[in-house]
Amino acid sequence: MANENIFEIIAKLVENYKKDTPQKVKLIDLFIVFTGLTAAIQFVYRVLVGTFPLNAFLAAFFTCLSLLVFTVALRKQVNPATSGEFRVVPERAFGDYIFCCVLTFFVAMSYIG
Amino acid sequence: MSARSSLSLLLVILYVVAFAQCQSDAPLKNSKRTLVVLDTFDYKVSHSKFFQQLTKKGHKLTYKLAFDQDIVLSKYDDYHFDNLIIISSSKRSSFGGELKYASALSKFVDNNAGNVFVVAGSSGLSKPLREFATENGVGFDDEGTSVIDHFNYDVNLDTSFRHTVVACNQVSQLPSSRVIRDAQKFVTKPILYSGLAISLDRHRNKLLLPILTGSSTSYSFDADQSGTNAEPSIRGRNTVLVGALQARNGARITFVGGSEVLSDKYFSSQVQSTQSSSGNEDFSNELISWSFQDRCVIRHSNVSHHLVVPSAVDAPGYYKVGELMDYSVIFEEWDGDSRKWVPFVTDDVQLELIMLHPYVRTDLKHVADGKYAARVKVPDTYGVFKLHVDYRRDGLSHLIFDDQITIRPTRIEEFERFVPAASPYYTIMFSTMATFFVFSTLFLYTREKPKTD
Repeated sequence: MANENIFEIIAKLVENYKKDTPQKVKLIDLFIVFTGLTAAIQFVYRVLVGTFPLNAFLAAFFTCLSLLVFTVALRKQVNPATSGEFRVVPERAFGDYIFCCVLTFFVAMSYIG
Repeated sequence: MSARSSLSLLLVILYVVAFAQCQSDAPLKNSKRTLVVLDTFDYKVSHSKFFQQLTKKGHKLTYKLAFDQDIVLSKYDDYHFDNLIIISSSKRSSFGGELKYASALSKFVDNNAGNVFVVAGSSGLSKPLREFATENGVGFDDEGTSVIDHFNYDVNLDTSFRHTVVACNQVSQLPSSRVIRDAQKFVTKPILYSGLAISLDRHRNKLLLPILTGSSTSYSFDADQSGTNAEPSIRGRNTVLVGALQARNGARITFVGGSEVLSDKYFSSQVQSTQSSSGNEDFSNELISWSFQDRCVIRHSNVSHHLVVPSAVDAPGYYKVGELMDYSVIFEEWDGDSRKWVPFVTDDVQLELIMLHPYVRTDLKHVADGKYAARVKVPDTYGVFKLHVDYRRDGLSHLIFDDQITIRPTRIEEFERFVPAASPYYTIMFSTMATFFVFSTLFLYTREKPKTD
């Protein structure tokens, strides 16, 4: 164990992730990474270009962040490894998720322009 | 009833007409009623050319003796005179009539904006005038002293051989170029002077200005006490021979340290050093035209400001932050010779936009015929601003005026709706929604692969 270097540990982690993680959770993880990256890009753009127009930045940036949070919540409810904490069927969890996201989109779209 | 109302209407019309007349009435002081207060009427003879100059400039002279009990300056706060000339060296402690109290002179300046021309007589300055001078921050040296200059004195007039008749022929001795124009001509025609020295406290009183000063070798001392070791209190360039104070209301108070400088004798004297006649006549001419407001009196009119668009309204109620504004004003100077207001041209007028402190300070450029203009971008701060012009220069009457404008913030619907700079945010918003849709669809239709192992 001790002479395994960091790359081998990562390789093992990825292998285990590929093997043990359900397909749906992998999909969720992909979406989480997407929203996180998009938020990061926007922040970099804001730093480079400036705060004007602030409302557009806030709308788009916080849409990505809230989507990220919602998706993490969905992942916890859907992933068999953690869903034991919740007494919610996955269909109900997904319905909640859709509702929250669509509401966020409405708010953000009215604020962005 | 109708008769009464028509009468009051007539009164209103009369009043308006009179007011309009007042406005167009050219100078501040159109009339030149001048009271001349003298110790003795001998001055009328010895200074006849000086009084002729005044008459030529349109002054109506009224002569009074200083201790005349019937000197009346005003009645019911209505002044009979616009200018006051006092030549006095009397030792008596007060003048006669209304001039009995020293405050009468100050009141004449304050309430009437009248010009006062104070000349020390041949044997010093009388006490009430000394008090008046001190009130104005002008200090005459003690009785018995006189200005002495061992390097620049006039040979012909200096009969006492004490070098108390000083010849002023340096340009630097005439520091107020607006009061005495063309100082260069006095290089060849020196101004002869004898009398008291004046010290001006210019640090405390910014309204004072020296008109004729001594050269760097001049000093003020009692010529009889030549043996004492005491140091002269006024010396060098600080020795002022003729000084003035321009009050904030435009009145001009001139102090001349000795009456000889304006006398016929000095006017017509030949100066040996330059082989020419003295410059006293020209000097006196310049001095009285300034002192009695024949020139260097300026006024402003036609202040206008509006947006920089073709059909802009003049003086709009509001400007939006950051808008461009055109400002213009006309400056005119009173010309006593032609008795007209003529365009005043200079290059140092500034406009300020002030809200507690100046946000914008810019040059007003002369365009044509005394019209000054500036294009200003109003500040990015909203609030009530003053358009402030403060033009105070030595020798000119002061010009300070304000106009008020309001600068409002951008209204909610005036902001740009869709900004190019925000296009990444718009793109991200829509791409996120599209990805969300794709993700949801995939999520719904994904089936777990059955575990094979």
